[in-house]
Amino acid sequence: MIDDDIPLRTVFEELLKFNGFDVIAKASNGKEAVAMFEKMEKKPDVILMDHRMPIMDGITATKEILKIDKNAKIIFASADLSIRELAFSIGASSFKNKPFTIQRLISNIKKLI
Amino acid sequence: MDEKQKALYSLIVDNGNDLIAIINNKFQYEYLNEKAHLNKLGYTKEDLIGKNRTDLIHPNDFKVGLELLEKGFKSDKYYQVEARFKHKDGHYVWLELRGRSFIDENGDKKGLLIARDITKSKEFELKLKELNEELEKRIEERSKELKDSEEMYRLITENSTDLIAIINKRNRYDFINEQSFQRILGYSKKDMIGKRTDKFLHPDDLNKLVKSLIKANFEGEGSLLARYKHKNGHYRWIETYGKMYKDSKGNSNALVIGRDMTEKLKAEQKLIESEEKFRTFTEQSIMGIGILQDEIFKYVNEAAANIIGCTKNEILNWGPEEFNKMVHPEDLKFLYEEIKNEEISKDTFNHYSFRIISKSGKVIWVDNYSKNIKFEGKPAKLLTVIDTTEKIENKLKLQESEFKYRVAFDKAEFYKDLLAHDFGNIFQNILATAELALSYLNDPYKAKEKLIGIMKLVEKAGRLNSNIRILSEIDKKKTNLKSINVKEYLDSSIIFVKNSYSRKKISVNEDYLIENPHVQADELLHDVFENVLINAIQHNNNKKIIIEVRISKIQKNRIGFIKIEFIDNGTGIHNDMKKDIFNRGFRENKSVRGMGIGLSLLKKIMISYDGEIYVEDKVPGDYIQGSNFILLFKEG
Repeated sequence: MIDDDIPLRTVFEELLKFNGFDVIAKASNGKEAVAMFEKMEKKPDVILMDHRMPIMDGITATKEILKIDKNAKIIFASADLSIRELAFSIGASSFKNKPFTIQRLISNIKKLI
Repeated sequence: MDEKQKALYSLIVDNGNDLIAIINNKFQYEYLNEKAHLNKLGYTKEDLIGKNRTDLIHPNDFKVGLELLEKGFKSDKYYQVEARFKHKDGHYVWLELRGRSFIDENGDKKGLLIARDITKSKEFELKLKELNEELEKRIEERSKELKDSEEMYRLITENSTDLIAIINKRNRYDFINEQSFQRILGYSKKDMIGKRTDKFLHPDDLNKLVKSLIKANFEGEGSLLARYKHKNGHYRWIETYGKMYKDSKGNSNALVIGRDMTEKLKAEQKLIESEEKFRTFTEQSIMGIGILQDEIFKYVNEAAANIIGCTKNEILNWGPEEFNKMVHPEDLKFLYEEIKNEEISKDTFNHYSFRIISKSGKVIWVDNYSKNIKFEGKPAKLLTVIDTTEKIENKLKLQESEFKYRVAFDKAEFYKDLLAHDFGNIFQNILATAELALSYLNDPYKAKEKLIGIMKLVEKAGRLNSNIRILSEIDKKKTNLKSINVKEYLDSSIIFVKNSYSRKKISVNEDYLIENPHVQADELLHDVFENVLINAIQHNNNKKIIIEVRISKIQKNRIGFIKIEFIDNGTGIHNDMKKDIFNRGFRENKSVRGMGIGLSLLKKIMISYDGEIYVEDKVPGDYIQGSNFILLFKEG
């Protein structure tokens, strides 16, 4: 889960856990996320990616992660609808426009895995 | 002959001036009149009698002398010859010799010689001959000279490109240099000799001819520019100059030299027309045109004068210093650099812009195209200028407008971004927390916790909304700063924040190094302090949040500042992000410690106070230990 909003990240983590998912890694910006992904032996099934983050944004981080693993499944979660087309064009598997319900997110995750 | 006659003849012979001698057939002297011989030749009887003295004859005259003697002896005629005889002292004497033979009383043939001294007349004759020869030589030389001169003048006249003519007193042609006349006017000698000059003139120029002739008669010379008819019928402009003179017979004639000016006049006319065209073009041009030479204007057109705001005459009367005064002082150095560069690029147009100050004091932008030229034989500059003031002003206005638009656009983007992202996240958080609360319906405690979380998020949204409002107010209004008691505002902000975060253990320690600090600020100072404190609280994972507030005084650039430090034990800020955290920015979104516009709002407010805000590590070099937010205020 990659998002610079720590409280939001905490809530999502709790919700996902409640619904049977493990959050195996968290990052506050794209750069941290890419470094973390590269080192991971067991890659996550799904990556939840925010867009607007400091140091490296979601679009750039997505490109980098896909270079490492072209099969990585990335769900873009952003309040900025204008980057939807861009996200898909660079390889994002899904796009969720904030605010969205946990059920929608879970449904999306299940489709991807 | 009787004795009396003999004595008489003897007297005559002895005393006569002429040399009389009798010689025999051997040419020996038998008698001579000694007085005369002594007088003329220096010889006595003893020197000559009985001697053949043909040796006394000058070698050059010997032949003719001997001839005389021989001929004389052969016949009884008189023979005459002129010959030189040697005087006793060596020089020669010219004698006119007459001789004939006769038979003496003894029946012998003798010769009678009578000689007259013609030395003087001979000398005179020789001199005359010499003079004649000299004269003849000179005449010959002179004739040759004249002939050569005549030949030369003939060559000159015949080969001259100009028309040369001699006109007699009856105004008729006596002579023309035919080659030139044929070439220029098509006439031969036959066509012109004996004809009146006015026959060849254009009817409209006859008056001019009359005036010219009158002048020539009075002043001895005159000139005329008139049209002469070519044999083909067309006219050619001929400029003539004539001078009166008298010939060898005393007749008055005029020597006239004429030059075909047709092409020159045509060229002049073309030049005039070209000049007229140029003048029309330059004077009607909307571009300012000028010629600058030695820093003085030699020519300006109306447009240039209008640009400068002076009359043409004023500008043409400027001295060199006036040109410098015309140029804007800030552009003078630049202009001289450009002029210097122009010296190098001689044949191309140089283009540059600069400002001038018009007569009325108005600043005018001009686009100048200048080129080095030759004017009246000396280097000069051709300047072509266009007043671009309006264009520049419009450009500046456009730039200003673009800037304002950009600022407005960026602001709109900023607020849009703010609303979309930050409120989006808040709503997402509220939604997710509500979903969680629903999940915990069987666990009232946890559910309550989540509901409280939602309330806090709503408060957060409220604060964000408030900050956005403050931000937009700062953008609009001008700040009215006043002297504010820092301690008062700090104390109230600390109380407010503690109440807002009542569930957290927050300790705020005060370290005021100056008493009663006052700063230049306004009511937003509450927001400043609250934002800093909230930021310190929100980004702190410790059980006990400790914030130290330190107030001191510093000098920066000789200005006194009140320094307020908020030192926390929070999560700290990485070096890479220390500058970016205050730049929520209109283009980038790189907020770190929490969302919202809190820190960028802080910066905006501090800027409006002419203050500063920046962050350092609590422990230098170790950001994890916490942050130190430093605010500098102007002393109030």
